Amino acid sequence: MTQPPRLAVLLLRLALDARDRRFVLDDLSEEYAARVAAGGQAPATRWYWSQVTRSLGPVLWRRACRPRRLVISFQPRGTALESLWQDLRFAVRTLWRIPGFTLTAVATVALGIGVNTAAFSLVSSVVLKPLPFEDADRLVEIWAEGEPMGAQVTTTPQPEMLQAWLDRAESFDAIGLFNEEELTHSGGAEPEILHAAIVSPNLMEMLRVTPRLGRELAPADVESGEGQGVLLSEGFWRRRFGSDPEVLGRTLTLDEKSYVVVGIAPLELERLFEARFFIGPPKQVWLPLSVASIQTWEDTPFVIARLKPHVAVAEAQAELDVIQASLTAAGLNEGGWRPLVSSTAEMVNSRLATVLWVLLGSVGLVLLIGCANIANMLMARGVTRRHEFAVRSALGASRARVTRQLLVEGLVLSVVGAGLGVVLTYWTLEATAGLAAHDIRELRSVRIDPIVLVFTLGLSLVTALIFALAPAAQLQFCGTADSLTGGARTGTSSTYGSLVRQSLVAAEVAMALVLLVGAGLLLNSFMHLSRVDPGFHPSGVVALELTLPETRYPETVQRREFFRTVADRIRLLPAAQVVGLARGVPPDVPWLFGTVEIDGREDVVDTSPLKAGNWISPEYFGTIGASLREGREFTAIDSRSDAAPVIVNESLARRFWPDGGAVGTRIRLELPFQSEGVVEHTVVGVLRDIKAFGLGDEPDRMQVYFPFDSYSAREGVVVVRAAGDTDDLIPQLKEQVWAVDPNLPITRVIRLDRDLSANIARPRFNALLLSSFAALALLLAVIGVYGVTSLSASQRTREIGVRVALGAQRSDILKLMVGSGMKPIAIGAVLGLALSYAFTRFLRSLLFEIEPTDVLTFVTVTLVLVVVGVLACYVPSRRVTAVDPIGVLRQE
Amino acid sequence: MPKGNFLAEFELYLMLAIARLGDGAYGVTIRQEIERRTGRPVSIGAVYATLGRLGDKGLVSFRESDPLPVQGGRSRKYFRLTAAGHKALRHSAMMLERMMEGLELGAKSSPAQ
Repeated sequence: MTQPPRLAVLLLRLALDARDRRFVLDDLSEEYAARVAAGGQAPATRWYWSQVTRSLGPVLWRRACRPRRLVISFQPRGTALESLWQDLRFAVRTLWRIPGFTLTAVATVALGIGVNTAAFSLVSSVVLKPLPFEDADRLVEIWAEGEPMGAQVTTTPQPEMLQAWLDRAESFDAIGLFNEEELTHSGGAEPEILHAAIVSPNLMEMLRVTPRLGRELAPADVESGEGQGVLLSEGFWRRRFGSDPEVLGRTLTLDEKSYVVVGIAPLELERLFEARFFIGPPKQVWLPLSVASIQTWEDTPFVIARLKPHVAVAEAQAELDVIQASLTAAGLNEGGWRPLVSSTAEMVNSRLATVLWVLLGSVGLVLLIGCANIANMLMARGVTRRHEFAVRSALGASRARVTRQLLVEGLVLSVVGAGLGVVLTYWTLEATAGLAAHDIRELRSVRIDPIVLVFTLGLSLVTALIFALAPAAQLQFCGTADSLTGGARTGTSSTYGSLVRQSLVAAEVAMALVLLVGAGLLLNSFMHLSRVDPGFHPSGVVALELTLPETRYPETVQRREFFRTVADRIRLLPAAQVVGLARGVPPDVPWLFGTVEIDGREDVVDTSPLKAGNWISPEYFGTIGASLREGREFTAIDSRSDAAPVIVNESLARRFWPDGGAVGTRIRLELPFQSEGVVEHTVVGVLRDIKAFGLGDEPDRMQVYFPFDSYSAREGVVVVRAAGDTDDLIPQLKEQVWAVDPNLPITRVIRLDRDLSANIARPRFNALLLSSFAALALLLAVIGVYGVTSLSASQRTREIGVRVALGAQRSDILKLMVGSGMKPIAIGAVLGLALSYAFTRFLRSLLFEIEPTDVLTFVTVTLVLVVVGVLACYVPSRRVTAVDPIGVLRQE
Repeated sequence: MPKGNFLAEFELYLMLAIARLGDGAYGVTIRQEIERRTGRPVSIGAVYATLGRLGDKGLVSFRESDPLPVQGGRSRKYFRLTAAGHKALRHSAMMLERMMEGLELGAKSSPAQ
């Protein structure tokens, strides 16, 4: 039979709508055949072509105008948006029908994304944008670095260095200075200690911040003796003046000198001090600093400078090095100091950064484990949905179409989860702020901001991709016909699918193990820390820290007299058991920078110049509950003797007199930063070691104690061991202080036990945080193991039935099932141990007296994981051993 | 394009052809019927496109015939007017008649051979 021209047929076929295609072509063929029979092929072919060319216009026009809603087809038509909407509705309907699965998945995502968002917002606000200043990357700090007595020290510059920088350095737009001081504010209801920042007038201009109200400090404020300008912090302004804008021009009496309020300091300035320098509590007043007043090294301020544009840190460093060389040449650098220029942004919170990156890493792992679990659940569902997918593709759905459907389902889960996660984050941040803000100040400024939300959204998309693609990939491997016939009936799992599921479980186990090891190390370290014997008995001990104003107590004699009088008065209180005086109490004992030398023991070189040094009254050790190992305590006459007695601690004694015999020996203390230089002392007693700098201090810290009566500075503490409740005692103590000097503020009330436990707040917080993540990870991993084992159990029911029928024992079956369930756990555990070994060293700086590769922790944690894993395999496996072989085989 | 109840010219021809052909109205016969009576070449594509449009309006319906009793035999799509189609056709013819009443358009041309 004659065929119509093929090209013409093809053209028309392409143009025609599927509904009419067959009929139109058949109609044309029919007429064509008739025409060929009547008049030959050539005119018939010409006719055919003319039919086709003239048909194209109307046919295409019709296709373009056809109302779409009338189309009945399994292949969705309409715009991409419409079909996405269709997918979305279908996904929601599908998920709605399986609430158990949906709830679990959404909760997992919410948890994972919630903690990730929280962690990221912490990192974002603390590490990524720590400095709220314009061009913050040009801000540098300048320090002096050196090795006096052999220990590396970074400190404020010597006065000569500072002067040279101010006079000669060309690399900086400006050099700002600041110091801190505690001042007595009088004129209020009670005398009060204010924390003051003493800043050079150019500091705020240099940081490019302006006061919230009023003006900046001006050079004129430095010069005028009376009525210098002062800026108030926002908090102090609110508390003392009720945020009254009329405050400008009022006077403030600080250390009995009057100042004029000229402005309110901007929050950024407070933030800088909080974020970077951690010096003391938040500042309340900002006073002008005069460079002329800087005479000794003790006076020198912290230095922060703004680099000129296009000057690199290294260039500034080079310039200061040259200046320093000229100082050295002129004999003005005896200490051998070197200038050190470092970028402020880099140094901000480097201390916290480790913790936060560890945090971000851990929550990332938790999210990954969660994703793996959801992927696993989706794959398990994929097995049951194979029939559905097969029907869909048989009806014409392309593979891309089905993959998109899976992706949309994943997206619905992840976006709903992310939404809940953000709410969760909000709560988490509130909780952490409540839990830790007291000890960890940086947490207070954490916010959920747009950057964080973008991060969360991205995270949820990635999450959806991860857990939706696994089942989609699985789909690629199951043939349509197979699924419609045999596959759907027996539900045997494809080798590929089970391989992926087992790999996912192995990965989960590995990640969980990393977290468990990390948490184990931190917990272990925290336990070490909390088991540390402080060497004294802090409970029931309170101390009042007092700072005598220079103006009213100019003489050392007056100061000693004051402290003695207060102590004597308090001794008369029935509620006070023992009363002592000191310069400081643990964990805030002063640092003493110096080395010890002893005649006859020149072979022992003192290489740890950082010591604890305290000035104490004879009753001090008794008050805090410390005791001497040998020798005697100070007596009242010690101050009047020429022997200059000292008490040293065991660690120091052990170093110089390993065989004993310290008492009675004369030692020389070389104190490079103190005016006395070298002083000779006689050891009168050896103290059993106490943790003067807190529980985390290194174990062999050397300590030196001097009589309180040889002490001349203005700060001191009155230490009291209470006979009863400390809360009742404190008001009585204050009363006694004010009985002696009604205008003296109490700088601080110290409760020794509370301060000591605050000392371990951060390690406790770290351990708690990582442990809860690890617990979460373990839980998720167990759910994963359980899920995979029970799926394989249900899939292998038939096989088990056959085995039982052939005579397999219950225990054989159990062994078989648990064995195959344990395989991914074992692989995951090995992998996890290797990863832990590689990663735990990042925790080193957070650990106390424990190695990052602590074998005990590794072994314990692995055992815990394996035991939990066996249980997770055992439970579903036991169910399958109860299978009735006859019943199973009858189903065949 | 037709508005309201008016039928476009080609639509009218199609419906008239279906009415004439009765049970034998399918693509080939419809096309030939119009071509023969109007003397204008008619493409099969235009026929199906317009029939589709009339179908959308509910004026024509179709049924598929059983395959022809030969090897690989085809089935045809037979069209007929629906009740609404008959009504629309009558309505259009009446309108045309009313418009023509008393109008002389010169010599009537005879249909082409």
